[in-house]
Amino acid sequence: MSLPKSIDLAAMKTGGFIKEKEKDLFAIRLRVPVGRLSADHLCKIGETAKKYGSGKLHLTVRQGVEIQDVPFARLQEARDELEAAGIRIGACGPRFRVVTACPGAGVCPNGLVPSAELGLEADERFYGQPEGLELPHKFKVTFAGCTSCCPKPQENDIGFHGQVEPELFEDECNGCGICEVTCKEGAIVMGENDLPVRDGAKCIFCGDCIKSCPTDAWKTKRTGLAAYAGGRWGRHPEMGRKLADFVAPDEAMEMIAGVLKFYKEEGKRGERLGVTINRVGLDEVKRRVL
Amino acid sequence: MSAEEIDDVLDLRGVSCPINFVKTKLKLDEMDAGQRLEVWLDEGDPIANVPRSVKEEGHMILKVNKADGDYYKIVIRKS
Repeated sequence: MSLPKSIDLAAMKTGGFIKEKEKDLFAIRLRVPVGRLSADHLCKIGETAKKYGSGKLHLTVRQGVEIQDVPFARLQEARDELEAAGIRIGACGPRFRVVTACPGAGVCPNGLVPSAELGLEADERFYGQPEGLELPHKFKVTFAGCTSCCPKPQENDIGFHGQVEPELFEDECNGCGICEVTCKEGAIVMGENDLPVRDGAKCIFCGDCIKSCPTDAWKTKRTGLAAYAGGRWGRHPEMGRKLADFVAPDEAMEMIAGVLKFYKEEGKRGERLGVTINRVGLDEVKRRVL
Repeated sequence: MSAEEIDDVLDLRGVSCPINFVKTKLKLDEMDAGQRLEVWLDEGDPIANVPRSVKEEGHMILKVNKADGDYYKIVIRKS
């Protein structure tokens, strides 16, 4: 079967159909927010890949799944079958992409915030063309549960990671010194009376002292999200810059909305957020968003 | 803390995670509540991980001392 000339490949791409090198074959990109899939959906995806494609699947770097080698003539049928099973189709192009995240506090022992749930919330609210906004370029967002930053928040247009501020209750400290040894930043030293002293300038708010403390003398003063903006990978990688510390989860959603509005107003067609920020200045972003 | 207060010593230098924790746990299982075990752990992952796991098992870390030669001696009280 030949490809009809009337096909708008850009429009097809928006719908998550990516033309492959070989004539007539397409990959179907699925929408898998935070990389969370039910076993039933995974089985259905496998079934669909065998029925319509070559049985090959690609696990994308942003936690998604693509069904490879589906002939053009069968795309609609495959899509209908997937959607009937509750599996949604992904997006490409200048859109708010599927949100990624690590499993977060509910699953990972290191998790400080429920990153996966926050990612799902952001994906539901902003995915595609949020509030009808035509974006200048693609827009990627991720949520990391802790300061280890496994999903790479600094490489996303907006990235968050969980953080915690420790507070010492001296009366409960047994002076063992494990926090000094555990702190990878060298931010804690044992001082007078066998009490630990924390250097706020060195502390990165990882919470290792809280987790290691045998008497729970180190307690959580506050938990929140560090926010970064303007990161990207690609041809000219750039790290996202810090927007704020200890952002509350609901504030994080408003922060995304604010940055998107700024990007829509200031971004030139085809430039990523980081380039816009370089041109306009981080302070201006902060002034308008925070 | 004097040596008399230690009931047993476990040298886990050169033993990697999670085997060092498993050996600590097995040793503590043999001991009585209130007894003290001194464990020798390498710096890096072992000293970061084993005490945290010991805490999660409900035992108490009483003291951590850096020894000559890049390892630590931790004293655990069995709960």
